[in-house]
Amino acid sequence: MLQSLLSSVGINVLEYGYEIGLNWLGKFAQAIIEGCGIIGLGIIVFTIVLKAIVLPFDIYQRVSMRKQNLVMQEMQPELEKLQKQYANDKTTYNQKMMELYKKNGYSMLGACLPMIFSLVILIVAFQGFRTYSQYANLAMYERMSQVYTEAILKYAPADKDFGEGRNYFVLAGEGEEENLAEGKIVWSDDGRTIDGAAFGVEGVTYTLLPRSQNESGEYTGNKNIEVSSSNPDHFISYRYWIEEAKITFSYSVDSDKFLSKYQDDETYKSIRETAAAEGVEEAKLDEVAINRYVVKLGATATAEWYRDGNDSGFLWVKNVWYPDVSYNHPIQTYSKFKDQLNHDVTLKDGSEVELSSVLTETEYNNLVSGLTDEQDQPNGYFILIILSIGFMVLSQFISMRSSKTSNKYQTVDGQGAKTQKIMLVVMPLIYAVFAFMYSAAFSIYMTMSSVISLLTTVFANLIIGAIFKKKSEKKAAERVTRKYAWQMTEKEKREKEKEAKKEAKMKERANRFKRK
Amino acid sequence: MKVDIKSLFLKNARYLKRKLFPPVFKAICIRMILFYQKHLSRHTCLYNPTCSEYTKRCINNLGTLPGILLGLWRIIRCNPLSKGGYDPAPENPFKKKWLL
Repeated sequence: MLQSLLSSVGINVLEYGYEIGLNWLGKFAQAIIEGCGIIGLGIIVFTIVLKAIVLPFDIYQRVSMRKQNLVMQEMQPELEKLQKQYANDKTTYNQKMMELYKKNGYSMLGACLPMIFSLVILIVAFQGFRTYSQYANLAMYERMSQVYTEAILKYAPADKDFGEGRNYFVLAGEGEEENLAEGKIVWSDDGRTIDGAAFGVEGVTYTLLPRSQNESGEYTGNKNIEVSSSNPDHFISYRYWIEEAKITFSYSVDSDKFLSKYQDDETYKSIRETAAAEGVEEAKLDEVAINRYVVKLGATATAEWYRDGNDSGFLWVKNVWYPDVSYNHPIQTYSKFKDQLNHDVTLKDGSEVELSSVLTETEYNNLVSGLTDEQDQPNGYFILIILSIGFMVLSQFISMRSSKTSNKYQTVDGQGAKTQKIMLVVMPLIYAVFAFMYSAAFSIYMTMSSVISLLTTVFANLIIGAIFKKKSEKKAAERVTRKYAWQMTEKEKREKEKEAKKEAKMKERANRFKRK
Repeated sequence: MKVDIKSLFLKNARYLKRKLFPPVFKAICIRMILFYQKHLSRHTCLYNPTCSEYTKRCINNLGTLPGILLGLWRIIRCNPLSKGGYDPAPENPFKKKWLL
C-alpha cells in the first residue's frame, strides 16, 4: 500500500467558497446588479435608481434656476443700471438688488441641502461600486477556481461524503496496522471527533497511514487517510486529514495508472517533449509532465467556462471591474490582481484570511494559463472615459447657459459667471482621475448620470419656458383687452372677482414658503 | 538690567500658547471654506449669512468640531421647505463681553 505513495505525483487543486465581505452599500449595489443578470445593464439600472432618489431635488434645483434666469432677463436693464451706479459699493448693490427682486416677485429659492444631497449620493455610488467591484471580480475568480478544481477532480474517486453515521477505519492504538478498528465518526457541535470508523464504499479501497510521532514520543496530528479508486479512469487519489473541525484534502496522481492510459496521448507527449527541451531531468520528467497535464486539464475547462459568456464584459469593455484603458488587460498579472483586491477574504466558516493564503501566485498563474489571449488583449479603448467627460461637460455647459444671466448679476463685478467656468475645468479633471484609477463600471455610472441630468435640464428648461411664455402672453393680452369696470357686464364682473380671489389665494400659499 | 520672567510669561501666555499650538485644523477648515466660497459656490442659500459663511464663523468662534456640527445642522435646515432669513452664527459664550 505504501508502494502507491512512491509512484504518486502530488498535484494542486484550488480552494473555493470564499468571498469578500460586503458592507451595506456593496450589498445594495449587489442586489440591483445581480437582480438584473447582465452586469452592464445592472449598472445602468443602479444609476437610474440612485438618480431617481435625487430627481425631486434635481428638478427643483433646475426649475428654480431656470425661473431665476427668466425673471432676471426681465429685470436686466434695471440691474445693469444698478451695477453701474454701485460699482464700488458691494453692500448697497446687494440691498438694492434685493429690493428689486422683491418688487418683481423674484425669490432666490435655491437651498444648500439639495447640493449636499447630490454629493452624498455620489459618495454612496462611489463606495458601493468600489466594494462591489472587488467582490464581483473575486467572485469570478472563485467560480473559475471551482470550475478548475471540478475539471481535475473528475478523475478522482467521487465519494466525498463524510457525513455523520458513515463508518470509518481509524487507528485505535499507536499507529500500527494491527491496531485498526471499526467504528463510527461523530460530528458534535463543538467540533468533529472520531469515535472509530470504517469505509464501506464499493469500488474504493482505503488505506490508513500511521500517525506521526513527534520528538517527545507523543502521537500527534492527523489521521492521514488515502482514498483511491479501482476505476481505471480515476487516476487521481486523495488523502485527507480530519482535524477538530475541518477536513483537509491533498491530491496526488497515481502515475502507474496514469501512464498506462495516457502514455500515447498526443497532448501528454507534446507536454513531455517541451519539458524535456527545457532541460528537466530524465528522472523527474514524468512527474513534471503529469503535473503540467493536470494543470492544462483544469485551465482548458476554465478558459472554456470563461469564454462561454461568463466574463464580466459589457459592450467593448472586456472586464468592467478594471478601467476602460488599452494598457490594462481583462486578465491581469497576479500583482496587479492583488493590488486591486487589497482586502481580506472571508472563508466559508466566517474567518478572515489574506488573499494570498487562498490563491497564491503559482495557483493564479495555473488558473489563467488557458487564457493567454485575454492576458494580452486591451481591456478597452478609452471610449467610456471620453464619453463620460464629454457628457459631463455638455450637461455642465447647458446648465451654465440656462443660468447665465442670473449669475452675471449676482454680484457687482459679475463674479458668478466665473465660478461656473472653474467648475467646467475642475469637474472633468476629477472625472478623468476616477475613470483612470477605478473601474469601467464607475465610468458607465458617470456617463449615465450625466446623460440623465442633461435630460432633466433640457426638459425642465422646455417646460418652464413654455409656462413662462404662456404667462407673459396672457399678461400682454390682458393689457390690450383690459376693460374698465363701467364697461363690464354683471357676469364679467363676477368672473373677474373670482379670478382675483383665486390669485390672492395662490399668492398666499406661495408666500408661506418664501423667505421673510 | 532686571527682567521679570514670570510677569513677561504671564503677559504673553496667550501669544506663546498660540505660537506653540497653532490652530492648524481650524486654519485648514477655514481655508477650505474660503476656497469653496471663491471658486465652487453657486450663491444659492435661503439664509443670511449663507451656510458656508455661517460655518466659517462658527468654526472661528466655537472651535472646529462644534463649528462643523453646527454648520451641518444649518445645511440640513437650509432645505426647500424652510423659510430662511437672518440667522447669525453664535458667539463664544466665554469670550462675550457683557456690559453689566
